[in-house]
Amino acid sequence: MATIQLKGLCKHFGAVRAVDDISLEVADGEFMALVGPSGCGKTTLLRLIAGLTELTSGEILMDSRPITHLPPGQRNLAMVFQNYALFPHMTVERNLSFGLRLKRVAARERQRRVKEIAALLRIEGLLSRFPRELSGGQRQRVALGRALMRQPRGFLLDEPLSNLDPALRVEMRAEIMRLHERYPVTTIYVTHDQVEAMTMGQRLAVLNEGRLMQVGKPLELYERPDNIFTASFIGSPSMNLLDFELSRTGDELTLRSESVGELRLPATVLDPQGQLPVRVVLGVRPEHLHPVAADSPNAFACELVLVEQLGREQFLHLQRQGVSLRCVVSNDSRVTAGQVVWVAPDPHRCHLFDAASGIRIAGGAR
Amino acid sequence: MRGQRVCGFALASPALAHLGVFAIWPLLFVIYMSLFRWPLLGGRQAFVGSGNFSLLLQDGAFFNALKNSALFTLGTVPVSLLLALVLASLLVQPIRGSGLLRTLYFLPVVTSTVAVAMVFSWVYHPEFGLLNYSLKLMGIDGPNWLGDPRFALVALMLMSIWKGLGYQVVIYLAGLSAIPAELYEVAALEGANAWQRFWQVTVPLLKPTTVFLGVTGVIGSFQVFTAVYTMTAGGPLRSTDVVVYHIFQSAFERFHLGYASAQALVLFAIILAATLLQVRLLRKEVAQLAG
Repeated sequence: MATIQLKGLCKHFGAVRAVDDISLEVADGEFMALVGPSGCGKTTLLRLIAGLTELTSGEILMDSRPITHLPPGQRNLAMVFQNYALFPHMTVERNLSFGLRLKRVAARERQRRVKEIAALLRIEGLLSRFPRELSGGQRQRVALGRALMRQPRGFLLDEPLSNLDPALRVEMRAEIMRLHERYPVTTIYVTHDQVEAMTMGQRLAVLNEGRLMQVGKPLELYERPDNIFTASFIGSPSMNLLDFELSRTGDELTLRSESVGELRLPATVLDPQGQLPVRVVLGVRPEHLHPVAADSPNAFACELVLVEQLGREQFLHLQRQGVSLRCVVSNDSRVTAGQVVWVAPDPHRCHLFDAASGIRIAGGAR
Repeated sequence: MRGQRVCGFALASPALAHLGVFAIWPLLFVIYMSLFRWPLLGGRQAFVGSGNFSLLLQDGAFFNALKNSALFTLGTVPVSLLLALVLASLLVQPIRGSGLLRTLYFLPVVTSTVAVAMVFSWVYHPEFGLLNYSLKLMGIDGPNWLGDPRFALVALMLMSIWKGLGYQVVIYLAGLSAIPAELYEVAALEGANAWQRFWQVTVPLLKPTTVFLGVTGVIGSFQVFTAVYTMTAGGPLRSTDVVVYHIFQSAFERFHLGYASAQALVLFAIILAATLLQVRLLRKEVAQLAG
């Protein structure tokens, strides 16, 4: 096991900056989820760490020793691919023992390892089968097993669950977490699915357009996003984002917009830092936009367009002068589409971002 | 139901007619002719039963031709497969000018065999040929390639390998590009060097391609004719007299159509047996790689 340290990693494909100056440290035994929309550079970043793609500039350290220019085979990292990449001409047993055979590990030791790993992944009965005779979930287990065989110092997983059906995905998610608990190998897990990242990652690194947007524990990212991108990407249903003009008078922040009107929020709660811009974006999560009485402070009226019944709670789609809002409420309130609903944001759970730079300037729970 | 069947046959009829006239009917007719003494010019046809086949068993020249065909096949197919695999593995690398190189390797394939044979007759010329000239520069006294019974068949093999290589390279290139890049990446991460990746990933995954090229290569080598006809006429001393050339001589130089038909059937049986054997291997491999 090892710490993995990235220092100013860049990978340019011509004019495209697939990975743009990324620095990140993954602690020994940590499970780090790399998350971002497709095309954000997360797979490229993983391939740079594995040594499968040549980097443009930057440095990769493992346990403080540079591995930037080592060939992939000498980095002692194991990788699991989205399509499993099992050797089709080899049985499960041969697939598992591939690396050990290359290292000329004695047959007896090899068999012992195969047995151990097969038992761990519950694939003992499949050892003499070929990959084509396995289901998707079984192939995934074999791919994970092959990665575990050599006892690598780090695990790189590239969207390993995205080819599985939803039920199996949940099962394998638990399986991978169980494996990580049993063998706490430093793991970098790439996914585009923020739910997967939130549930699995001890920490998350959010990527967008080749740049690192924010690194932190799942709840930190959820409750205190550093920028508009993280705010909108993390959380489902995603955060409401509304454009406003900001002014400050004493301890009061006044937000004005044509569509919503005027909101007054206490500066003591939002605690804005530094010089405040005029054009801002207010972020409120759907569960922090509460239906209220019409005369409540900061209340504004919306048309209820659609109600999605989720059983435990309901998900309201609201509209006000061309602006769409989402709101999650408990199942007690009886509302129907078409009626007018008054809502107000919880001032303790509001986020303010600079509209120009997208960076957080105020708000967020701490 | 009946209408459908009629319609199906109607749609298939052009292909069926072509196959019938140019493949099935001649095949059946060869079987028929092989049972007769059947002079092409004059003379009476006479039923001889298995007479032509017993004649074959006593014909040393035919066995010599069979031996030459077998030698030709053994000398060309494995060598050209190996060369093609090596070349394809090199050409698949993204180096500058690989497209041009691929085209160059394919050029001999689209060139007429007769034209190639004419050029090689000159290349092989004992005194003025390019080959012996080059050998002389290295201090080697080259043999009379096409005039020496020890070298004539080898000379034909070399030319045949050179001419057919481009086709095999192209097929191998297609096979190589069908191997997912991830398999090489996994192998590299597991610590396999280039040589190990070649033997443990490339070669086994190309087996279906290799068997296909082996089957078509064996069929093609047993049917070699044009090069022999244009360059050596089976000589010197029958050292390049291959089966198809022997059949040609029996039929159209000695006009023994019945006897030639019997030889053609023997050749057919040999090729059929070799093909079935290899297709059997292929089926096993393909089943293993499917999915």
